[in-house]
Amino acid sequence: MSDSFHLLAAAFADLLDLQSLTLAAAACFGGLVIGALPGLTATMGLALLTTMTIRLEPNDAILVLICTYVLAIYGGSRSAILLNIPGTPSSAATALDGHVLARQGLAGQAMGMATVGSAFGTIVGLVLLALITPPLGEFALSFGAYEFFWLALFGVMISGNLSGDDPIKGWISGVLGLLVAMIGRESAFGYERFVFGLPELSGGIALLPAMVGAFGFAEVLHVMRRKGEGVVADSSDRVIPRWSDMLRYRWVALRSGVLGTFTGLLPGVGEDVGAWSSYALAKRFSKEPEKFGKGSIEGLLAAETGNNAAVPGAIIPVLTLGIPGSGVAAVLMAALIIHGAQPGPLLMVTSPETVYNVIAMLFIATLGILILGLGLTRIMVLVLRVRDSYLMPIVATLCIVGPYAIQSRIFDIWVVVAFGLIGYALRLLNYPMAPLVLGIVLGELLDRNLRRAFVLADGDYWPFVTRPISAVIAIAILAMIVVQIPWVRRRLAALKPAPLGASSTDIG
Amino acid sequence: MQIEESRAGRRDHLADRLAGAFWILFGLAIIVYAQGMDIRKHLGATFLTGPGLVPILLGAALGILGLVLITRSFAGRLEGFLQTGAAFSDRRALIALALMLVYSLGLVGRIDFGIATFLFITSFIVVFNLPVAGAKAVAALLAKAMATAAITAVVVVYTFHNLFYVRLP
Repeated sequence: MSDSFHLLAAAFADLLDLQSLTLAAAACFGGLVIGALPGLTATMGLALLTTMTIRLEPNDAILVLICTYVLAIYGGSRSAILLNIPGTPSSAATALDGHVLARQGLAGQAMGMATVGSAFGTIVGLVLLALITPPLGEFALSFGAYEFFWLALFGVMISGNLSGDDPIKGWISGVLGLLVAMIGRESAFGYERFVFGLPELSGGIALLPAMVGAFGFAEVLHVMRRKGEGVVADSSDRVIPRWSDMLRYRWVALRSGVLGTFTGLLPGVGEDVGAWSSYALAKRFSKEPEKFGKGSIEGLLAAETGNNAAVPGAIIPVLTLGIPGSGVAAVLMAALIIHGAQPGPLLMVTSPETVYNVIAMLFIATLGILILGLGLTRIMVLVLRVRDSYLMPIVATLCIVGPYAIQSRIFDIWVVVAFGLIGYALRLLNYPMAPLVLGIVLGELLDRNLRRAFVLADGDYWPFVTRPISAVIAIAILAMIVVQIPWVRRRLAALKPAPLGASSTDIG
Repeated sequence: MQIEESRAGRRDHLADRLAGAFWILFGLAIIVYAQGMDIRKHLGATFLTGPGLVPILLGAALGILGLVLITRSFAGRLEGFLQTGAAFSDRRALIALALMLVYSLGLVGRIDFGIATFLFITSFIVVFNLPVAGAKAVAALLAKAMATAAITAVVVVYTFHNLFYVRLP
């Protein structure tokens, strides 16, 4: 325990210098803007920033990315409240009540409660991260090839299940991601798969150009497809929430924080599901459920607490298992690897300070939410008035130059364009992007561990389902498939109470 | 209204069927291709530990999911679809795509990156704002577009070239 405090104190001491704090402040502001602007998602922002922070010191680069990540998820609430357009998909639940409150002339109050909820959610999440990560990391040390194979498959499947409206299309997207990960030289025998004589493909498709293409290039096209721009609501009322309101909703916030963190912890599920599940739970326990969707402060608070609590939650499996909890966390994981960290079960053994550095960075980001969130109301209203036609070509430029800057290869620009076109086409047909990314990230892990498991078992299938942890994950995967059978769905629907009437679309 | 919805439904079912057929064919192509991958038996590998195993499984999964998509569309079930209607314009997306393709594949790497960026941003802003700007405002629009493009090009080139030491394409 004293070791943990020592490491945490050292992490804070490392960050308390002018350069780090300046970078953190800039990243917090940048993240807030990225989250608030409907055309820029957290995933796209983080992917672009990873390419731009590649020359920074590792600790500073990770600080910039974590501050951007947290503030981008929070920033989505601004446009959700003021424009009724979620800045990031994780703010879709916020728009339900937030914009109704804004139309009632209570935009300031809504933004204030969203700020407090987001900050509280991040704090709950980081406390749980500090408590869960060390024992989970230790537990993960007992995982073998069988468990990692199932976990990788589970991550892709649950992401496909929950990140869109249609699990079948989500799974197709995940399989496509896994197939992309098969391109290039495989690790066991050095055999080149799907290279077709192109030397650039022998190293495989790099994650960042693919992500910038799927989330950046495709997003620019998606935004430009939209006609017209939203009208910013008036936000001249009181922004700083009253103590009485905060005390009144303390249990809603705590419940949403815990649920959001655990939702984020599930591989590939992400912040938007954290928001929706917290919103649904708050409605179920509310004394005024009829107000949800009609300007409920409770609903707004639950959604915002839930999505920000999911951020530390999504980082937990990155640090302990090397499996991202969301699409944004997948980019963060790629950045950690680029900067020399090795996320996974050995992280707590080889460099435990990384975990405590992340906790300290999350705390600084929380301060950023409170300071910028409560202080920059007017400036953010101006930011929201920037026209898409001026912003999107700048984003497109960064989508091209950012991935190129990593290895100075023109080929990476082609990858951006190719994934942009594929991503846009898939989005039009309602295929979510998150499972595609998870597939690219987890494909190598799945391939390596499945084949290693067969080597260890000498071709025997039984250990895949007889080892306890493997069996649990395999049953969860089977359950996900079984509930898609129409007959089972009908039976389950007959058992369920009336649906909430809302669902997420994609992850940020 | 109902006629429009049923038309949209029919089109979405058709898109699902076509996509399903594509995934089946794509899955089959992957299986056929992966079966040709050398198992490396001389290194002790078997089919289960060879490089083709996972691609074959993924190809099969894609084919099965494509089949489910087709079966489901014939059963009349639809799980949400592309957003269409007055709020969206495919023409706008196509114009943006054309400009981005010309920039990324046509200009970048052929002319100076700063000039390519300036031309791209200026034309993007002008093309999308010209229809809403009146005839009198064209000069102002052009000035704003060129200023935005020049500032962006200078900042991007300075940041990547001078601060990150990247040789721009």
